[in-house]
Amino acid sequence: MNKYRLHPKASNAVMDDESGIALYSECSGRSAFLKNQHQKLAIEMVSNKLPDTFSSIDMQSWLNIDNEELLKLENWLVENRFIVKHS
Amino acid sequence: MVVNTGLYAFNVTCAHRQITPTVNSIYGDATPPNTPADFEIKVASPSFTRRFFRPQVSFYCDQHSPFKPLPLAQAYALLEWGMNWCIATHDHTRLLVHAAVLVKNNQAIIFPAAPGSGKSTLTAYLAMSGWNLYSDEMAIIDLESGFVSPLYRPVCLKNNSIDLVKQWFPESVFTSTWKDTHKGDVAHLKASSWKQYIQCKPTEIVAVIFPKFVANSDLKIYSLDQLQAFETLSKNAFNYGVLGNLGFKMVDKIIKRAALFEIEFGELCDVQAFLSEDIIR
Repeated sequence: MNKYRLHPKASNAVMDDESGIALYSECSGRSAFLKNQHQKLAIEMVSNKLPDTFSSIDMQSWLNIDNEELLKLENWLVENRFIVKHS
Repeated sequence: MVVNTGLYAFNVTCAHRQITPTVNSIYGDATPPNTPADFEIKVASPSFTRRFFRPQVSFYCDQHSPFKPLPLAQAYALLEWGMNWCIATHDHTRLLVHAAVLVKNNQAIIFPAAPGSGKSTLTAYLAMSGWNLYSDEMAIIDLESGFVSPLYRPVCLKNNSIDLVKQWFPESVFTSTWKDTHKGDVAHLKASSWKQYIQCKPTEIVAVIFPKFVANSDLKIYSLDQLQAFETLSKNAFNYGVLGNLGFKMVDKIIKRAALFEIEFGELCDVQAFLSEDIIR
């Protein structure tokens, strides 16, 4: 199971209405919009920001996606410098 | 000739005299700006030959010509599009969103929309019905306050909406209709005076509404969640990518403060009633 944290040059905005998270990467200049498919996201987002570290399982749970989609998403988020692996 | 749009001033050189009366009919009541012009622009023939043979004009900002030449008859429309281009590609001190902006009771509503959505017809209708027109084309948003500023520009009407708006408001000032442009037939409506414009101040955005005209449709109102609005608003911002993190934070601020809707409408009076009764406090 991979652990991640936000890239130091990425910003995140957690939606007040629990609809999801918007991310922006200053390195790639891209935005990502992660739609909340699961109430767990809302529960974990109480502080209105992403947790300092989170796992693949957390992401899968927030977004309610299968393993294949999760793998694609993790790779894309890492490649575009939204998140980095946390050792 | 200097065109003062309030926030920006353009020093315009026109090689063709027929543009000047139209410029004066739209901007002639504006007072000269207190500052030097922000943009040096020119509408002129792209070559000597094209002055006489199937006459064409090009738009120039400094020495740069960003568009293909157009027939001489479309010179004024080209000037307006060129002015939009100047603002959208040069002002990165504010967030610029492709949207109409209308204000009532010091509360601004922005209407980001794709071409063909009925945005300009709606804008003309509201502007001629007591709302303050801040822009038909571009929401200009301060990066600190999040307030939207007014711009002194006409409304660009297309195709069937030209005759419709002329029927509704026959006393208004319209330019000629420029036929067969790449946007179809186009005419500009002077929807406010300079006297009205100078009363308009930077204003808080209370709603972001994505309009869509559907012929013969009843008014349908859909509440948007913040993530949908964030994505759509950022895609409609001309300089979101240039502003980077500043643009991201400003879009976040707007969608968390404003009411967010998508509407489908067939009648403009239904939209006005919805805005006046349910959005403007």
